[in-house]
Amino acid sequence: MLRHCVNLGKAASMKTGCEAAIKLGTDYIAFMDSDGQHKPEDVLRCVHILENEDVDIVIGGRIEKDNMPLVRKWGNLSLKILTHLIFNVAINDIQSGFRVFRVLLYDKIKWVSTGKDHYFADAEITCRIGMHQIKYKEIDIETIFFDNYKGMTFLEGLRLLKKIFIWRFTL
Amino acid sequence: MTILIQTIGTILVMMQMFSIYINYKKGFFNKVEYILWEGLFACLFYSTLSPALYETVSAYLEMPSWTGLVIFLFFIFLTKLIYMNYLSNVEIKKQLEALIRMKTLEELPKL
Repeated sequence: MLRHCVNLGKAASMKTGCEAAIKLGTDYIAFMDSDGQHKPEDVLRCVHILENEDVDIVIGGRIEKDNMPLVRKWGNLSLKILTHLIFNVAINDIQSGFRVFRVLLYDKIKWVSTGKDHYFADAEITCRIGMHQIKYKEIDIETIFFDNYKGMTFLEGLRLLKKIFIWRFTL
Repeated sequence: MTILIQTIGTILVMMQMFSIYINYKKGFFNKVEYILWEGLFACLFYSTLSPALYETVSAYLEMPSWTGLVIFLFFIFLTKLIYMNYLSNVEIKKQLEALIRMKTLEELPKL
């Protein structure tokens, strides 16, 4: 396991992980959130899809729970619609932290979100998928929550909406 | 009232000039930076003590009052300062991130 001596946030950790994977000469790279919400078995499912289908990236979409607060449901829906309209990418869970992709794809999806925007890296990758017209597939994955969901706040959601607009002109 | 503002202004400027001197002695500033900062606060000191001296310059520039001139100059300076500060912040952050990531990746062959 590699560990930054100073916490640089999620986006920088993902970059270091990718560069380590490239150095090691792997074929695929998998992202999983480190809070234990994703099942490692799903990585194998994704690799199987990459090996047998004509796709470059597989995204594990979280299944929306019925007890999810309405504001969060609407928030996710707005982000999904906006990403679809602006980047022409129809992914249900644009911020999913579970992705498996071919190593060669790294240069195309390399994200710039860092610092206080480090949690927007996943959404930025989704936008880049649409921008470069990368072949993708979204599969449903089960998520395990050990504690209360600590996702984005309402204000962070608004900031992400603004970011998606900005990315349309800057990515 | 004017004398009170001038007294407060003088004390603040003197404290600031002393702080600049201390930081110069500590080696945080080079000579050019030291002169620049001391010069800036000396100008402020001058304007605090005799604001009327600026009236000639403001009249030459056809500005309605000398305070307008001072505000205008300080606004330009402040904007430049904010920009420089932002730039150096971004540079340091990027360099730090690159350094930490490089150090982390150096551990890879040992795995």
